[in-house]
Amino acid sequence: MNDMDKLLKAALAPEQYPPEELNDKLMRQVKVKESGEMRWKRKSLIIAAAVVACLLIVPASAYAAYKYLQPKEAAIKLQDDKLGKAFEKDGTEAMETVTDGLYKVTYLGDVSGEYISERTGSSWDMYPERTYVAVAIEKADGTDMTDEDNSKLFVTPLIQGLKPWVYNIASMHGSYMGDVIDGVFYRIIECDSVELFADRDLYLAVSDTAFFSRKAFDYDEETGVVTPNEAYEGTNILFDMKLDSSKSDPEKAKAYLKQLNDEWNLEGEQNKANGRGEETEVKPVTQQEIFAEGGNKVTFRMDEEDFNRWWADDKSARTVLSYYLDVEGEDIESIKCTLNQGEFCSNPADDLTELKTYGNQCSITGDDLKDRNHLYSAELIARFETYKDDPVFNDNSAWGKREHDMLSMGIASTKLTLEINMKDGRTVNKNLSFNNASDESIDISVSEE
Amino acid sequence: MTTEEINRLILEYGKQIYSFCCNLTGNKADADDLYQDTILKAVELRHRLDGSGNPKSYLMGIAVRIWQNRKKKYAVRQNIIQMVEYDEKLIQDAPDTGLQPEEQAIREEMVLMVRAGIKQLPEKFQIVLYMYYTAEMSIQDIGRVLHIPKGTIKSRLHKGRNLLKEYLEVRNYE
Repeated sequence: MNDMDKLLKAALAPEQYPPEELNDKLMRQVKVKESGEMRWKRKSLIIAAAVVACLLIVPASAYAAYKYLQPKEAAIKLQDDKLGKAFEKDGTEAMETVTDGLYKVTYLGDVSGEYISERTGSSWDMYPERTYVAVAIEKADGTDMTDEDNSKLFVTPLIQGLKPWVYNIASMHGSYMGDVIDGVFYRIIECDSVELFADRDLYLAVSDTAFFSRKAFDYDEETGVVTPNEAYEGTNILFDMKLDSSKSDPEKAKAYLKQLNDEWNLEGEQNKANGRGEETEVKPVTQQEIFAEGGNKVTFRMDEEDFNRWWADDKSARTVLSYYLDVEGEDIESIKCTLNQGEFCSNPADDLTELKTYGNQCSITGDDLKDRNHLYSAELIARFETYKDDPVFNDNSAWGKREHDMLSMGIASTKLTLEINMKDGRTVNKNLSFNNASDESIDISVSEE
Repeated sequence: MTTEEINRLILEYGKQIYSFCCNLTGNKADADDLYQDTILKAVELRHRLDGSGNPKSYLMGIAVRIWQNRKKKYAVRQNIIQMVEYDEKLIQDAPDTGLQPEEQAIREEMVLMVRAGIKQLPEKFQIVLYMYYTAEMSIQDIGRVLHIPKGTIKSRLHKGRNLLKEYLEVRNYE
């Protein structure tokens, strides 16, 4: 290990100074930002009186127009002047506000076009026609938004007739930029143009989920219509996007979908053929359980993450289970958790190479509590690996089948037993089970037994 | 925050932060973006920076959170070839080690292999390794920044080293 330590020190030692021109640019940006903030604060004061006077008599959209930055202004604030100009010239303003769950979301507006942003990326050349949507998100209780709030929200355009869990911002080469300005989070999302589909219903979905969640939205397979799930407790807002239907192009849309599907099919093959590592990015799925024990509230939070897969020349690995557990509560002495009564999952242990390292039982004691404000954590990981001599190694579909079997069998039957020892000597036992895993949605529900 | 204060911040921590951004993103354009966004955010949150008592940790925390929240905004599709080319450039730009040419070549090859190996690890291991070895942070500070117990940080460092060791052994290094 000492050798590895030395090796890592040699390989990763900080040797890169930021280039001088980068620091110069940075200083210029600091100056612009500072002066911009001052201007904006003055503007806020000037319009404040007008907003108060108009509040009772103006429609909601007009109020929103006063209260929030316009899409153009939001883009400029986020340092994309080119996009600001595009919003001004060709954009449509929506200014619709909906409050749901913990958040109040205002759909500010959208614009579509080719090369209308200063930001670029690897897929921009292949898919230059892009749609940009600006939203303003606030906390419903009036407190300031934080980066943590932002990371919990998923904003995406959806298209009638296309399965939303397959076709959303994540699969359509999307990204976003955003920042908190005066307590409001302004987010401008972008993805391949949805204007091609303007002859269908288009939606802007906002949910308090890290990724698209089938719990938050329903999809009617027959009509292709997306609706918010009324039973969902949280934020699941669906705005209508009113794009100019004359700009729809069914033929081009069909070609785009084919291109997208071809790309998805080819991606895995090419990476494997090239011997390159592939990171399949899947946002963590977070589930949370809160229960009261005596006078103490105990929160159990599970992040499922790192469903990644990679190849080397002669080895490939896939993480099939990765739970990051947080337990938060006062007066907890220690916690012991056991998976499946001592068996990590129901699959043959040979496949789960990480089992030996992490075991199927973990204990968390109060020692880790000191720096953490009543928060306990543990990580539980299992993954399987294949080697060059395994027939599965070179067979993508066989690999996929094994992966699916592992996910559906393993997670479906995984049970977590928590033994929480309170400081006053009480022991609280909780059983939680993880159900309903599928390779497509990676959707796990946590229920207390 | 005055220009002088920002300059001092950059002078004191710029190298570690920028090196961390370089390692984490794997390409110069994204590293520049992440570095800039980190400093700009720090300037915006200067009152917290001043009160943190540990500016380096605070800056690293900002960098990690920006990366985690916005990595889709950056060009995140890591391409191994692109990364290797970038790493080679890093090595070319690295200060002279005073080694003989042959020793230097071996060292460079090893450095490239280690960097490529780390990129194969799950990101949570990468972040901890970069924070420990590149940003030269203590385990306690990493735990504070990532809101993770010290034990988990130690476990990730240990696990990361083991996985890297396996990776190198498979390729007849070590």
